[in-house]
Amino acid sequence: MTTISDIPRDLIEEILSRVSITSIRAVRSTCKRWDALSKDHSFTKKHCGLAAKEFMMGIMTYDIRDCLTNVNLHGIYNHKDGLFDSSIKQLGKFNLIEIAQVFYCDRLLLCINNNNDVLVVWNPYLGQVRVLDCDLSIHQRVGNYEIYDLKRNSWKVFDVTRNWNIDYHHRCVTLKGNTYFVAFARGEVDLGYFLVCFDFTRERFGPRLRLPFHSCGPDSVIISTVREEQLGRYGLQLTTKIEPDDLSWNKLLKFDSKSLIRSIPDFIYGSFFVDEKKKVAVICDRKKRSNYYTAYMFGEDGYYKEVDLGESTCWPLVCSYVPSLVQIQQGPVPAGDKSKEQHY
Amino acid sequence: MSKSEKKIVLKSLDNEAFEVEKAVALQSQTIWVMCEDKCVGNEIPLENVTGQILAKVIDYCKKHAVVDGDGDESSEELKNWDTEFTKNMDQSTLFNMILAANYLNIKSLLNLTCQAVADKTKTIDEFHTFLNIENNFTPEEEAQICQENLWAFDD
Repeated sequence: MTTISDIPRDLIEEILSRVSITSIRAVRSTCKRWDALSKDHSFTKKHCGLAAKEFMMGIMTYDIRDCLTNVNLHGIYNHKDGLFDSSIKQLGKFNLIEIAQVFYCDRLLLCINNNNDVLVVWNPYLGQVRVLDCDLSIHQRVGNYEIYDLKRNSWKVFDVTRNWNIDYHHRCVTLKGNTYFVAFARGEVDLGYFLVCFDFTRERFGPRLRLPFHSCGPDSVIISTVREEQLGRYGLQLTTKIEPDDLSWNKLLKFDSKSLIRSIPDFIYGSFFVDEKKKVAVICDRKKRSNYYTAYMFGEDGYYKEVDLGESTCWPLVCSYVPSLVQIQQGPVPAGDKSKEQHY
Repeated sequence: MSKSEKKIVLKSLDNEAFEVEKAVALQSQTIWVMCEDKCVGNEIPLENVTGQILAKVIDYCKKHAVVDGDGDESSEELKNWDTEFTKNMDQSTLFNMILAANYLNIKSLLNLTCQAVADKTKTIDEFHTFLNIENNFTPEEEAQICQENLWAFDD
């Protein structure tokens, strides 16, 4: 009888690196040896290449127990018959830091507290958290663009000549090391929204990037990432080419965008996730003038479901989570890595 | 090439002999190297694989061999065949197949069998029962690990 104890370490690594990312907790809870193995660089690299690809990071909201929570929306649309319990689980507590905003940034989660003076950089996959004390309100008042360098523990200010403003109601998204912001031209609001990209390699903003539709209302655009690609609202368009100074778009899912707008009342602070295989989009947004949030699920086949998420004191986030191998806890960030945070 | 040169004999650990087409056997990089070296005759001894497991490996290689005029099997069909192939294997057989695929250096078979084990183990209980691994955490350590990985939902 051959058992797992007859299997050498490199082959155990081969097996475990094929385990779905949703089972990583099971792997790590099995025994000490596997917990250590699953955090080893050779394993995480292999795992991210094989099984730990895209995963919907539920929603993170801030409930009465003062902690971030994760809603298993994945489970809900995987069980369309409605028998699935939309379990909400505690996600994490950062030494009583009250989190007010959560961003998904180049495979890391960036949390900002209520007082705007603490930043938490979190790599859930590697179980690493780094807490940075920095008074963001001062930086906001100055109104400059600054980058926080994790390696040097310092802010870097840089000058930008621009004729547009970033719209802070809209979430920015980061992919391939660049951050895309929704912006509008000063004094030319009728021109509508467009995107601008901050290129961290060159430390500068690129040109205006046209959206595939005209949008001028504050609630007309949400951008999100799908794997390593990018999306805009209205009919859910997918970028097919992504460069800091050039984007081209393609329709991703066939939706009746009018019914989408009718169903979702507010759509300002929203975020969304798209499951390309199942042809389902999950959009999370606030109920009009309240702190109550809802997840709206749309399928190309006409599937529609609303899931009440309850009250939240921070903007919930639904995102396409891809694990990161970036070490954020100690030591310098590996060379060539652009995992800096931006503030503006 | 004469008919006999196209065939090769594989001999298992327990002295069971299998005559197979060379094209079938050469999917194993290990056998390929042995044949290249010409250090063996027409009979190749495989000291790490039992006859029972070698028979299954040969079945796999036969299905995946690209033989003249027989290479039109669709990838969909092959995939279904692969699923059926590992579906009813017990744990011990799967581990033996992994060890054999590794020793014989047949990458696609190693991928298939490792994936089959991974697919059978998803929850904490499945890891403990299917793989029979003892949980050596203290309750505090277990709670800590659980806390750290709450972000990953079990499907």
